[in-house]
Amino acid sequence: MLDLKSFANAFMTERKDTPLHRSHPLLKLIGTVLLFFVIALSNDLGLIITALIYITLECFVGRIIRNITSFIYSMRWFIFTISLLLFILYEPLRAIIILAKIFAGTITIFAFILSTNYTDLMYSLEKIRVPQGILLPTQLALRTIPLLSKDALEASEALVLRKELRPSIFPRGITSLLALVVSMAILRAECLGEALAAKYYGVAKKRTYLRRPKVTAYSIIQLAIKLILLIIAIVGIEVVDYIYLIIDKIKDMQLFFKFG
Amino acid sequence: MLLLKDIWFRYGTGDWVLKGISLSLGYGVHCIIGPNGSGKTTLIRIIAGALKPSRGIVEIFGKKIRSIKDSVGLCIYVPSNPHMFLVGPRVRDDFDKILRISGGESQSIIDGCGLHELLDKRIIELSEGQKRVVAIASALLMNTRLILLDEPSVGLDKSFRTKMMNMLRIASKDKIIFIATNDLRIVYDVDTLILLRNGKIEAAGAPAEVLYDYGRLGFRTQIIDFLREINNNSLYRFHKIISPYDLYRALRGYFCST
Repeated sequence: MLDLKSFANAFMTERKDTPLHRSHPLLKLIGTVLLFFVIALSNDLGLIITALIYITLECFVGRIIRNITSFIYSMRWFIFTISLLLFILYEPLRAIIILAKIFAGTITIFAFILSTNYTDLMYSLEKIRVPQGILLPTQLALRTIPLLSKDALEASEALVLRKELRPSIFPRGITSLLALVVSMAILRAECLGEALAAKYYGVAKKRTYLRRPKVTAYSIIQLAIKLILLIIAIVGIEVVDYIYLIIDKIKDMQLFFKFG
Repeated sequence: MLLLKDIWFRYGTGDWVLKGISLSLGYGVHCIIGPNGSGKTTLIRIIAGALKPSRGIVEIFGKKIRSIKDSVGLCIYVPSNPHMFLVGPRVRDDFDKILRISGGESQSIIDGCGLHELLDKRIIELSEGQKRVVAIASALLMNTRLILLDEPSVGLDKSFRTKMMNMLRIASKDKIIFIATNDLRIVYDVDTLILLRNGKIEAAGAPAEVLYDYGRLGFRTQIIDFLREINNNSLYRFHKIISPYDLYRALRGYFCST
């Protein structure tokens, strides 16, 4: 059900110098949480679509749209199954709203994961006194996602040729693949733990960071936009109606200027 | 026969990794060497059908390979991380699983690779080198005529390396064995040596001739390692004063005499 090749490709990204990548990680994290709340709270299709368009634009700015498409493509069978179930269980409009929520929510989190420098994020979180016991495992877990997806891809290729794994919508032999990937993850964690212990990681209360993230104009703008979207979601203004209202107003104004 | 016709490949919109690779290989042990990042693993994955070339054709025994599904039953691929190939949980279970699919018997390969002591061990308990030998033995048990090995000699001591090469040589009578490596210690025992550099084949042919090119391209230290391995101390002692041409003549002399 999961296309491992596209899934692994989705995480392969080099460090880019875009406004999205340069923005302050903490403000970006707050923005992501706000947007996630917008998507979760709102039942207005217009607002969810607006959030989806906004996050897609952000992905264009961060030049990660290829990764996003690759990620969605890797999940195509999963999305197809979910869509089918939704359209069977709910009325069409409700199903579309839930689907839009799934897309928008996934892209929001994925864009954050891809465009954030975790060291900068850790620095910012440490500044607001989040304990290292929480920060370090989270950072390491996030960093190992691309590695594990690459391992899974490599293992799946070898197992397909070994005839242990048969790729299809419901692949056979997936347990062998999972066993390999999980055991590899444990091995990696063991090696990483030993390496970090050898470097006295976590012994000092504070870590040394070589650079400090800056608050850029883009980080404030994105936070402001997301905050406005959250307010709209809480107040319950129906965005589509509001847009129509603005269009009507503009038309009225045009008529006013035309006929005096 | 393994046939590659004008293979071009790049990841996404990046630089070309492979630039017009053409090869035709029959039964035997064939080895591709080249600096890191020259495209060896990419080429192996293209042959296995795991990557689709941007341009060009891959044919394994007359069958065009467009995806990994096309190469199932035709080839087997042991990745550079052998852990990704072994399903276990014990070495014996791994062999049994393969034999259930491919038929045949495992005794000659277990004897040849010296794996008796490892049979009842769990895969996770094995060292990297042991895992690699077990993975190669499993690949040899598969009933496929093309075996792709990525860095098979990493972590192997001299005894295991020699055993592995002997097994590969025996198997190569009715199999194509394609190895991607940087380890010059194993290349003197192959039929064809291919030098890949910047995505292009710089030289292909008998190992001695290609090694001369390799030396000319600035990999003298690796040649010294190679000479050390074949225990030709007189050559090793004078490595600082011999010219590439002398080195070539010496290597050719060595290969012609053995």
